[in-house]
Amino acid sequence: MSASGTFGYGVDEAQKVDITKLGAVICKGIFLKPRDGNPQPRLVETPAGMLNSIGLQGVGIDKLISDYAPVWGKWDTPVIVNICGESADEYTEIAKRLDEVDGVSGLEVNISCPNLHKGGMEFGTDPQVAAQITSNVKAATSLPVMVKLTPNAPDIVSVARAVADAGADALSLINTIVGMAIDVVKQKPVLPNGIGGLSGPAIKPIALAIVYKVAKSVDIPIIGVGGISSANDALEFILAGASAVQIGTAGMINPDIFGQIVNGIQTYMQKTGTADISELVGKAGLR
Amino acid sequence: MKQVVARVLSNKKLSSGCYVMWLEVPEVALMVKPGQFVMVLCRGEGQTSPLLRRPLSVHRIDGDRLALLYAAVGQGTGWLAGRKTGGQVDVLGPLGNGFTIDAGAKKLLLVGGGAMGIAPMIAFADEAVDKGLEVTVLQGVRNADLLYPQDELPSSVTFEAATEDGSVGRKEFVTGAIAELSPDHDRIYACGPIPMYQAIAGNTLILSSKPTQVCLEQMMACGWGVCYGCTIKTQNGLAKVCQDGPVFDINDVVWDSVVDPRIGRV
Repeated sequence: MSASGTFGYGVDEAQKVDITKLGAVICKGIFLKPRDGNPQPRLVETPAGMLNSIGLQGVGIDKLISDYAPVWGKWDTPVIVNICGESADEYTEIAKRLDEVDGVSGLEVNISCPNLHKGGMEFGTDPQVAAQITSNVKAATSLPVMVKLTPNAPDIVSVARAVADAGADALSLINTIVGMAIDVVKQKPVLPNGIGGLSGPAIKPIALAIVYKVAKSVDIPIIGVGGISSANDALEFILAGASAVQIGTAGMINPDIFGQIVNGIQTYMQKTGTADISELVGKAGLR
Repeated sequence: MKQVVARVLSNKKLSSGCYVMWLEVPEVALMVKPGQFVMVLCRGEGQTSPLLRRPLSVHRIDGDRLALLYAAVGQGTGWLAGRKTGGQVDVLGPLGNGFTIDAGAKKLLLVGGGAMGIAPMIAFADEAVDKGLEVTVLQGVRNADLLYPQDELPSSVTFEAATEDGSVGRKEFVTGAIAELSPDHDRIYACGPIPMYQAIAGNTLILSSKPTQVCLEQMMACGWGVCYGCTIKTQNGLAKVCQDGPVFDINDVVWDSVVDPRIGRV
């Protein structure tokens, strides 16, 4: 899958990248209203990673339904919409609006974006709040619901358990990790909010450890995400307990990587005599 | 847009200190237009730094080959400078929209701010000369050492230099030279650092009379419209520099929304 916020709404992107290799396209996070996002600068490159402070620039739900969903409806590749909210009610409202919209195959609830003043990550750090939003969204839609969690929670396992108990169909782990860079000439943070979200290979071991830990604590599928840049990386997440993976930063840099990773996994399965990928899920776990 | 492994045909340092790398890359070269750019992966296989591709303007176009002009200033461009003839470089492109020449244009002023700002202007000068237009290339640099070698320019191009120390050409900032030269031209095209554009945009003498296109750079992770890192404000709403630009009409850009992407380091 393409990770949210790294593949736009998929429509322009499908002209440039072969999406038939993707298990799903996860579109950029959406609010009810259009948003400008954060001012420049929005990006900083860091060792083996990058910080972003995009701030969920987006078109709003009306345009998504009128302009993009009809295109998605014609694809074989399913589209999962990443939904955001400045309030708990906004998630519910968006979930209602998207229910039974042709072209939308599932929801990913974003309670984990570090770049917002209101909403986002603050909903994903408290198990009770996260569970409440999850059950509200579940009640508002017939679509499958996965919840994307933040590694910036004090106890992500508790959040994961609470969200699973609240009825989530799957978890995506992890969103970006809070990070910072400072301009030593200006003596100020580079990013306008001070902090941003760290992604890329630098966060892969952290994401992997979280997937491994959470996989032992919940019974719903986990989608692994965080710095995956090769078939080897993807296999590590699967062996740690992920049933599927999302590619973010690596796909922005190498748009051909989706197919390469799929091919690499297939080659590995042939070499290891693996008939079905599910045989590998969590195999590295010491249960 | 294609992701292609290009073959390095040559990679030479110019007298200005910048490098010119010629690549054999028909998938990109046969489609690319002056003002468009490519994203170049500046690391070897299996390496993770620098993570992001580097956006580089297309400097020259010749059939199935294209040239890139770059300054070896950091880890990525340093790696690029180490590529030898016959080596390989992973390129994504062509990206963005190039310069446009309208039917009324006759005398073009092409401005390169700094040693690197000249990069897209040589391919564009080639195109404009081919179309039978009169072309002046103005380069503004700190001193004569940083000037682009003039024997690389098409012979019919008039070259003007502005240096801060007066070591060659006009002794003034490039913005002053633009103001002096613009009355003799009907279109202005510029590439350079953000502060240069902001100075031009603030100069109503230039703006009142001449349509001006500028080639912008903002920090970008992807170059093909997915990261939303390079979004700026324009008179027509939000725009991605990589996809809606990098060439903009100077009057369309809301200049407060654009920042100098360089980060101060010791």
